Amino acid sequence: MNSTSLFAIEGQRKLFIKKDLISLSHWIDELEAVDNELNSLKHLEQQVLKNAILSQDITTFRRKNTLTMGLLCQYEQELRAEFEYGKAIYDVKIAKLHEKKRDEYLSIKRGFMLLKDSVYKLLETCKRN
Amino acid sequence: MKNMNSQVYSHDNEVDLTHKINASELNNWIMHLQYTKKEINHLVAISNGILDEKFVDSFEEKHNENYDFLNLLTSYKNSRDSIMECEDNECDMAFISDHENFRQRYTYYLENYRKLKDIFFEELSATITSKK
Repeated sequence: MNSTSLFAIEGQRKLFIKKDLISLSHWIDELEAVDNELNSLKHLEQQVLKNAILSQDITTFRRKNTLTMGLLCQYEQELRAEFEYGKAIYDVKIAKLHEKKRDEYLSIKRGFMLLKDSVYKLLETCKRN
Repeated sequence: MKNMNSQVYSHDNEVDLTHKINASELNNWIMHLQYTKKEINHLVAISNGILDEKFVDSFEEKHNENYDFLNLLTSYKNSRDSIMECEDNECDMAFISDHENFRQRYTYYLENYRKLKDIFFEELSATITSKK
């Protein structure tokens, strides 16, 4: 393989890792937004709903979200190191790991949708006055 | 680009893998926007009950943007079938570049939607507190 091809392969490898880093950065931002929304939901639960089970659900979910955020931040560091110094080609192993991380992220997103639905249904029963 | 189902195979090259990752990501965006549509209905119902319909127009605007963007993403998803016909790198890169443009629009929509929700929750809290 000549040096031009090697440069092309290296360029493409970096491009694909960069793409994974961009989507990963979006996931981390999304989980930070989930954390902020949890603050609002917690506040409303304390002020209006006063529901002990819901309060516990929010606390448990926040822990899960924080843990997943930490794992994704760790993965981001590993991917950045791969981008800067790695030599491995972008292959099925790297793609499968990225998809596994996506599943972890999506599990939080889906759980949060369910949690929000339960809060919204309770808030919908509240009326002005 | 030869096999466009989202299953990853050991013989996939890096371009195939990237297209498959993008396909998964696109499905996630669509799922999220579908949920957002449902969420807006909840927030409007809450607003009607507690905030005298104050946010209804703003949420309706977001609902319409969501509807248009969902249609656009669905159309983009259908257009991705032709990735299978790509015969050169330039064609593959055009699809990858399109995907990044859609990502920016998706992120922009979410940022604005979240800003509205933040204001809504602040107002909801303030209204409830003032009634006590």
